[in-house]
Amino acid sequence: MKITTWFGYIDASTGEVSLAGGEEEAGGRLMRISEETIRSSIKASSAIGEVWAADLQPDLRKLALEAGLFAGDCEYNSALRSTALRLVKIQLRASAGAEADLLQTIEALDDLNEVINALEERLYEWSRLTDDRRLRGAALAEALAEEEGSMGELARSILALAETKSSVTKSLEAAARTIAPNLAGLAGPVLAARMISRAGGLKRLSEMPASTIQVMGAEKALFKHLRGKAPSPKHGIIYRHPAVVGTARGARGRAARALAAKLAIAARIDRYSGETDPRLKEALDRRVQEIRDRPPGRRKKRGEGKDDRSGRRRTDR
Amino acid sequence: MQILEDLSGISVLDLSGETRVATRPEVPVPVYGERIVEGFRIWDPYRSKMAALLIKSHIAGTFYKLVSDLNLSPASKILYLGAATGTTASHFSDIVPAGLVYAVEFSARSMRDLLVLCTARDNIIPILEDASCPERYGPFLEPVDLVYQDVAQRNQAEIAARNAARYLKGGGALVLMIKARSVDVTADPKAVYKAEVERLAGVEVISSADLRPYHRDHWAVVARKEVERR
Ligand SMILES: C[S@@+](CC[C@H](N)C(=O)[O-])C[C@H]1O[C@@H](n2cnc3c(N)ncnc32)[C@H](O)[C@@H]1O
Repeated sequence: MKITTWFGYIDASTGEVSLAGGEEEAGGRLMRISEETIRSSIKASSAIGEVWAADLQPDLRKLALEAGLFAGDCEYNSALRSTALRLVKIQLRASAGAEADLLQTIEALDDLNEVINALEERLYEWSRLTDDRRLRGAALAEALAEEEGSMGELARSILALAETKSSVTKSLEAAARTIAPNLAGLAGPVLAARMISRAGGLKRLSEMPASTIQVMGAEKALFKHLRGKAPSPKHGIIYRHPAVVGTARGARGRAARALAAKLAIAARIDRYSGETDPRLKEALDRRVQEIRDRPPGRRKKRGEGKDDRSGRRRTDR
Repeated sequence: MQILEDLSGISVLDLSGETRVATRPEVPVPVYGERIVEGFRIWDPYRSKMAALLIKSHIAGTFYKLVSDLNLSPASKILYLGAATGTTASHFSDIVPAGLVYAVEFSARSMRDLLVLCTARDNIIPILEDASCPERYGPFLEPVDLVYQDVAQRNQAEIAARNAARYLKGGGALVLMIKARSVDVTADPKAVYKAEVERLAGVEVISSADLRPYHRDHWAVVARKEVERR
């Protein structure tokens, strides 16, 4: 009878220990562990259930070290740690609530921003009655936080809200990184969350063509364009990404298109595998550099690029 | 700053007249906004029940006995049930630099924050599971020196007893934080606490303390598992 552990199998009758082979195998094994142990707690009669439902815990460290699977305690610890981290990330991504939670978190962040801005504006108006330092925003709230009375109270509330905002931002970032590591890596966690929220979920985002992702959040401008009243929008919420803002005006449309293409790929990887792929970021950086290096206004010669880029550019005009 | 007491990696400090407990991490960066003083991370008794227990024991003159009862060394293995976002777990991580903290938490939301900590530390093993089903994390664990539990759940004593039975080494310690109100909102907290302690099968209670003024309606219980006789 084989029992499953994080590092491989133990034959419960002979005590023989074996390391399961390969990354593939390890990932599958982890999911099996979590499923089998769930089942075993309900029905304790499966092969695995019997051993794990028994009261005494086998000393997995000792068994693995005696079998020579790891060179020592340090190696055992670090292998166990990375395996556990991986399993938890898989579990979190699979947990249905995680994404709904992310969507609420980003809405909460937007609400907080709005409320903080409104209160800071009010505090400014109010402070001008007695204070001519003309500070604004958080600096003003800090300056007035020691005051007595309602104005000081308001200033303190603003500071407290700002603290809430920073902790909400932190958990938003953590959530975006576990749900969509590649997207978060390319777009930054907050923009990644915003895209997932706009699309109505990672699944729907992963099904969007890059051209839709490019103008996401610019729907108003897009409809205006479709009614023939405006030029086509070149970028929506991804406009704030450094790849776009950091590019000269004339080339921003192209930068946005390159970015959208990579974001679309990132969303698909995140939906289907979730493994982080650093090549994506490198490829984007290279592409954006290319765009920036090309003098503005000059187009590639015909025949040099068989891609649809130059063609689509012309129909824009 | 003056060090008043110091044992097993847990220090009691005098910070210009204020008594504080603290741990000393390898890299002194704050985890949850706590103060850093001369390389020590100040352990907030209002945020962590363990810190509250330690401060109270210092005041009662039983710090040395309490910490000796925990029997911790730098290579100890700790099973932490209800790790939440890792406030207390981060201090245990400081205390066992060559050991491990197995951090069990069943809320995905908390686990996401806990993961940030686990990534920054190399001795915390995150486990997204329900502490009331100890066999579920068997494939990852080993016998441990300390079981620490703070789950604020109905059947908290039973959960602690089952985990101690399975994972605690003979002679190892159990620290259980009992929330008297989550068990029964209407009953007298003291009575609830007593009833919970009676359900602690398989271990022997060696001390207990309430955690006022830091945490209302909370008690800490320290117990020891008998050394197995063969
Ligand atoms: C009061 S908080 C713990 C705070 C933490 N000990 C600290 O000081 O940093 C209780 C935590 O236990 C978790 N919890 C409750 N029941 C649990 C169970 N059966 N298994 C695992 N975690 C549980 C909750 O999700 C919550 O995060």
